Amino acid sequence: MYSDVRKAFTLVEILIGVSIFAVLSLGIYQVTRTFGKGATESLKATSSQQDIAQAFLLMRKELFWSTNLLFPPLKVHSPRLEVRSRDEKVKYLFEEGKLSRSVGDKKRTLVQGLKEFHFYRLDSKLLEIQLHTSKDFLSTRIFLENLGKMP
Amino acid sequence: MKSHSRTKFFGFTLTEVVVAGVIFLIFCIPIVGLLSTSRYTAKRLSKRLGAIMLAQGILDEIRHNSQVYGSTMPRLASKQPQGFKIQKTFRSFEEAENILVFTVKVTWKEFKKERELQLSTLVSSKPDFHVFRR
Repeated sequence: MYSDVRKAFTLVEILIGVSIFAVLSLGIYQVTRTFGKGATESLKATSSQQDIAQAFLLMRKELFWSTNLLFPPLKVHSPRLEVRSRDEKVKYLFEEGKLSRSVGDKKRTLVQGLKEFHFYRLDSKLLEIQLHTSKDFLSTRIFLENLGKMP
Repeated sequence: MKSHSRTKFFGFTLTEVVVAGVIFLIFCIPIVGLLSTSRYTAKRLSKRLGAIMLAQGILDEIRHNSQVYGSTMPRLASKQPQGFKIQKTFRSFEEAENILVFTVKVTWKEFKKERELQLSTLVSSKPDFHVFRR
């Protein structure tokens, strides 16, 4: 009794198989790449937003107690802000996409990946902060309530 | 004697392919869902942060004007973020005299839904205190 058992693929079958595999792999790669990119972007965006929110909270608190504003002068757009708050000289500086805060020799980066950031004194006690992220434009005003008062 | 020939084909049946496909989809759908939810949340957070900063800025300006000029009249031109509508209202504070409650309502559109955020502050009103009416 003779039985014909096919144990091998023909060249045509292998070629078709490889082609289908290549097309499917390409599709899966594209989908993974798109979703991966989206996920990374959204994670970055969320993290950056949290940093911005935290930095603003800190600035609001610090600027509320500031008694002396050393820089910038009125009606000048500046990437630098210097205040005296609770007997400490605090400096905020935006350079190379990073917003940092320094007190004495200690320097800490608050937010990264910003496109633009500046401080603008609208009035004697009113400060405007504007910033551009990769997608959004955000702006707020902070009332420097204790400015000019004795510490 | 004639030999009886028999050919064997190895492969998947339609049922096996369908079952495998369904299992694959069951695993894939939550992952895709998670990714799209994360993007949606990031976008929502971004808008919300913009609205909070905007509202806080307006309230600070009102407090500034009330304390520096004795009036809440808007004095300064502003370049506000696009896509937000601002509504300012005030009422007298029931629990104390000469106190006003200012409320800023910021609304924005988010995936065809209208979202809103309200922040309030207390401002002292003196006899010569002027309140904006708009």
